[in-house]
Amino acid sequence: MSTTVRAQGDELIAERRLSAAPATVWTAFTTPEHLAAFWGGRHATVPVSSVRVDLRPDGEFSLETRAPDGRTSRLRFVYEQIEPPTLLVLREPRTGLSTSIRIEASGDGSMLTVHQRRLPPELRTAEAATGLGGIVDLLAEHLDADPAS
Amino acid sequence: MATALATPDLDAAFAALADPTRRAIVAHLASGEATVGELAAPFTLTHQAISHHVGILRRCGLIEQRVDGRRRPCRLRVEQLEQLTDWIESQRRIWADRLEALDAHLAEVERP
Repeated sequence: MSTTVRAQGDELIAERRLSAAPATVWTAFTTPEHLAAFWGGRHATVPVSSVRVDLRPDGEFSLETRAPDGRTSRLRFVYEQIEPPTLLVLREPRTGLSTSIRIEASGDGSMLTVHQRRLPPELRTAEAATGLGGIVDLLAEHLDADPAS
Repeated sequence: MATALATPDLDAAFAALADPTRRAIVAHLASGEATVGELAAPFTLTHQAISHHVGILRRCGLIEQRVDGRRRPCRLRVEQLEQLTDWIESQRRIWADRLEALDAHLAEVERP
């Protein structure tokens, strides 16, 4: 099973089917031991002792990632919405970035959908959905068509 | 990463592009430079309103204006726009990698 990730305007949508049941996936996203095991991906490591999970609205979720070259960085989020075992919305106060993690039952496993938005929802319109992607496409066409510029 | 925009600039650039008129201006400039007057033509907006949008795009670094006699054509700063797409791409990689690791982790946990 593989992950599909696409960008729509400034929004990133990642989807993945998992063989685990929603409750198990929910536990993975809300328990320090599990988060430490996967949040850093296959390259960065996350010490379990660095993970803080205060699972309530406005509560903090933070952890430290350690890159292969030894560089560490502390990531800090605030819980915005908590609806077990289906929806978790995190906001990164430093960047204003909002991430929603949706877990739905699918067959005997789960479908996981992550939406990451750069813009606050009130600024989002149907038009914005194709915004940045469309601009970049136009630009690429222009640059291809006119190598002199 | 030395050439990367600082986070506030990236935020300002994304916020600037949240506006449909400013996206249209950027799209127009993607096909070549244009003066404020030329940019205003397709819109029912005043020259002054377009100037205001151009100012916002200029301050967040997405476009620049040069002086050419009495004309002040605007042009897109392609490298800045690319940083936005680079940012999206880096996030894409992070999530693909993270979910890969999650799947592997869950498989390990569930193994009887």
